[in-house]
Amino acid sequence: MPSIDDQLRTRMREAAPRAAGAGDLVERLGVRKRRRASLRRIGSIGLVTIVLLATAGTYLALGRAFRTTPIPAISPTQPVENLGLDFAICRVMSMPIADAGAPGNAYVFTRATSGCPQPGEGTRFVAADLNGDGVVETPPVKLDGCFPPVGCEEFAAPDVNGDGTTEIAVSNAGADGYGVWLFAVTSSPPAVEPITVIDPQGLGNVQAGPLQFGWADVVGHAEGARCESSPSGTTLTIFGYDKFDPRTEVRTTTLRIDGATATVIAASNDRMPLAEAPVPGNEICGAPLQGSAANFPDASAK
Amino acid sequence: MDEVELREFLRERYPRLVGAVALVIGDAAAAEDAVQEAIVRAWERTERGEQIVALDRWVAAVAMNLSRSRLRRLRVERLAHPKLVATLPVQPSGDRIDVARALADLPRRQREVAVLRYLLDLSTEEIAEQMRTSEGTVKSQLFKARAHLADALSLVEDTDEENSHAEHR
Repeated sequence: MPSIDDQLRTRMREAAPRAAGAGDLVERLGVRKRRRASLRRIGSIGLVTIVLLATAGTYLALGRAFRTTPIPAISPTQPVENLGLDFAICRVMSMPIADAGAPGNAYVFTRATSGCPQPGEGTRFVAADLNGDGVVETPPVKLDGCFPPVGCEEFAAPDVNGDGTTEIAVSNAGADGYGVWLFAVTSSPPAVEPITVIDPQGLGNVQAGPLQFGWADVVGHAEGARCESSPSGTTLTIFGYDKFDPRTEVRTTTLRIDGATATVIAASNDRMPLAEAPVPGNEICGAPLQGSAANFPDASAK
Repeated sequence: MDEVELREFLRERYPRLVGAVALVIGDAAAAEDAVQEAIVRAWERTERGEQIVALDRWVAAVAMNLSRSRLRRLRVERLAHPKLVATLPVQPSGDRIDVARALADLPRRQREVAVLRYLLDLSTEEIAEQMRTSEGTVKSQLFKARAHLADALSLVEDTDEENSHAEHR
């Protein structure tokens, strides 16, 4: 009697289904091979198409996710009345200010050329109407660094030293927040002047020169400013810190602002829990933020 | 692989390869499809200048893998659409029914080992290489499969010595 292995061999050979094998198998395999080649070509074309579409889609999605908020409706893009200036202007933003308690308006606007330049293009100015008559009394001050797509905007009109005259904060939206410049308003003679930092004791975490600070609250860091009142007067404290550690080092610089001069009077680097660190909001020294920053930190320019 | 070699391969090895895959997966048509697909892939590779050592084993391995993927896909489809996809047609006829049933009762790996061993005459080393497992595992699976098949088909061993010899080939 054959072994079990031989019996299994025999039984399996008998039981194995026969290939149908209809027609010329070589011909059928050739057809199959050509079909696979066609499918591969179609697959390659499809893959390239998908990659191109995905690239375009990603580009659009990222553009949408990170685009800055367009400037709110400010003025017609065509030149308008010139606020008493000797040149045509457009893209005019205005916000109320107070000059020693008297109401007026601050304006940020673009010089009109042949039409109105796009946001962030052309020449942008800041000027003030100190008595609310619709005519600016101060010579317009040219703003630098008003890069697209938002360009320079009015940021707020805080009274950062508590003297009853508001300062004018102007901003430009960056990738993750705002850069803010402060301008002092003086009435005799009427002028808007950039506030300049001096640091006679070498204390501060800010550079001497035009006062500028950041306004941001994003994943990696936060920057802002706040007023602090004391019997000796109101001061402006600029702060900034990284958010990578649960205990962060908050850098602060306190400035006493008198006219167009901001003097550094204190500076510190304090380590504290992130939850206790100051947070920039949608107001500065009680003055609400304007323009695209009005909904900060929800503004997409953040 | 030129046309002459292909024709020779189809004449000599194709029927048995289809039979082997059909016994493993229980579907002759699907087995034929898998083997043809494997042959076409081998053909493409040789045209690209690749060398395939032991073409019949290569085709068998690819066809088994293809059929395994197909079964997995069918299982998923059955779970998703239980009323729409029919079960695998395992309907051998006449004298073949006992072997087919006995094989169908085995776990997939034991079934594959048994078919490769007894129908394609592969050694345990070749089976281990094809299934990417150890020879020891193949021998163990083969021992269990053989015992089950012998019992299910009422096969009688001649002598203990022969049994032991066969088991360790």
